[in-house]
Amino acid sequence: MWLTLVFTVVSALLGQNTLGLALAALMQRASKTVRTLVGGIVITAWVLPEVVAGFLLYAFFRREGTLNAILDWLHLPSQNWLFTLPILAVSFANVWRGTAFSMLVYWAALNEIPKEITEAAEVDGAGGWRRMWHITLPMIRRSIGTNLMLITLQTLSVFGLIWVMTRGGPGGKSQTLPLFMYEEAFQKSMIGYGTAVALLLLVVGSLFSVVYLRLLRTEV
Amino acid sequence: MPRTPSSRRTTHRLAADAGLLVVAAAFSLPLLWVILSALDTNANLQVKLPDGLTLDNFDAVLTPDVTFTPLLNSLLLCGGGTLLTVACAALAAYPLSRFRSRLNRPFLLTVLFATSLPITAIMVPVYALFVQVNLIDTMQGTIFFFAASQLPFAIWLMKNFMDGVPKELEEAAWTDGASSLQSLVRIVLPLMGPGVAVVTVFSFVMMWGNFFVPFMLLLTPDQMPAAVSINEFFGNRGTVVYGQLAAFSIIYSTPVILLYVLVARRLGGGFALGGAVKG
Repeated sequence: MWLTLVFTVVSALLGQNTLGLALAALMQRASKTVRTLVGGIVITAWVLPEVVAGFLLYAFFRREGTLNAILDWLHLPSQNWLFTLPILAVSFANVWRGTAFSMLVYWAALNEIPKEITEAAEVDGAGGWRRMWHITLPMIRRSIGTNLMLITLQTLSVFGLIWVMTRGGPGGKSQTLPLFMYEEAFQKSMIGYGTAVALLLLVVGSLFSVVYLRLLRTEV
Repeated sequence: MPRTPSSRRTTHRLAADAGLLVVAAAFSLPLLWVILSALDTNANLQVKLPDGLTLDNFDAVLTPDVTFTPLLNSLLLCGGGTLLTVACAALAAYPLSRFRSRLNRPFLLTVLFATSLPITAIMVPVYALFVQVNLIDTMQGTIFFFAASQLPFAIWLMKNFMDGVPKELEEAAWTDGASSLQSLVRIVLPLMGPGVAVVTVFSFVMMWGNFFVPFMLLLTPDQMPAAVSINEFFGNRGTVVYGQLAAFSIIYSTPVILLYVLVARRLGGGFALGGAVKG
């Protein structure tokens, strides 16, 4: 239960959302070649089927995997990520896979901000960070709300990615609600208990959904 | 000393470029692994230059058992599901877009609400239901569920695209004696071709990558789509041949990447989808 919360907050709110916004903001300034390249790579990670993404990141985080090889090369201590910090590993995996969506949403939102406004602020002597904080963020707040809601819901129901990477283990240390539900209902054959967990998941999902509807209300 | 605006802009751009490239490098490491390993004679779990370039891995997995049957199953499931979704979504979106009714708003809100519910959560009840009505372990049952789960979002997208088609053309068709079904099929759908393409591709890609639904609703190994069979590949065969696994991953992922590129090209950049999703 708490793991679900950690997973959602770390991977959706902090990871995908912030990284997506940062990427979109940087892309506005970057040159066209770099933009196409980066966009292509990030979106590829998004379009890949869930299971394939799971395998790629499984390979990345394994003891013999790429991450430890890089850490070795930098003379930093390496460890078995999937064993010591599985929840962090799967959160990063979800960030890797999901950032593209936030990036696309924010890219569209940032492009809708009229140039005159940012230029006016620039003339008034506002620096990059202040422009971001006082002008850009308030202007795209609707998109931020929508995006947060959608990625939260998306993240709540992630199953395949975690299943492939850790099966919820070791010892339930990366077991989020969907995996817990699966284990109770099918491996322990307690359909009723599993359904109860499902209901809990559904309730959390609908709460988010309702907030999301409120945000969109005027647009329907 | 004050710098000129243009030089400052260049510095900014270089900084942005550098930042993006770092992120891109981090994102591309796992992707590099899969490509290099698939071509490697002796693949392991690290990104490294291949010991020797080879296509043996592809040769090894391109057999009916390992690749063709699961891919065919995937195609059947996702193709069937997508057809059903698009047909139903078009029929549902048409009245929503064309006729004013008091039920429109509540209906759309419900659709939107359903869009954002986690599918994972309803799988256990659906499993129980499917056991009772004998649809468990059948292709058509899974196709139905795929279509149903994708439908709310498809209706939502379809309705937004349909709103963009001017009403006058249809009124002309009505005057000429076309029924509303005829005007939908002959006039509206052709005019919103790109929209239909987006809905189709989006549904297909979603289903193609879906692991959980077939994992739960199908039991016989012969019917498993690629999303599930890749898992067997990995878990139940003792030592894992990473090269072959990587090769299979590539074969399995190619169709959706191609589809995505196709749509992105046609619609002037992949960013169109982001705009549509925003509501």
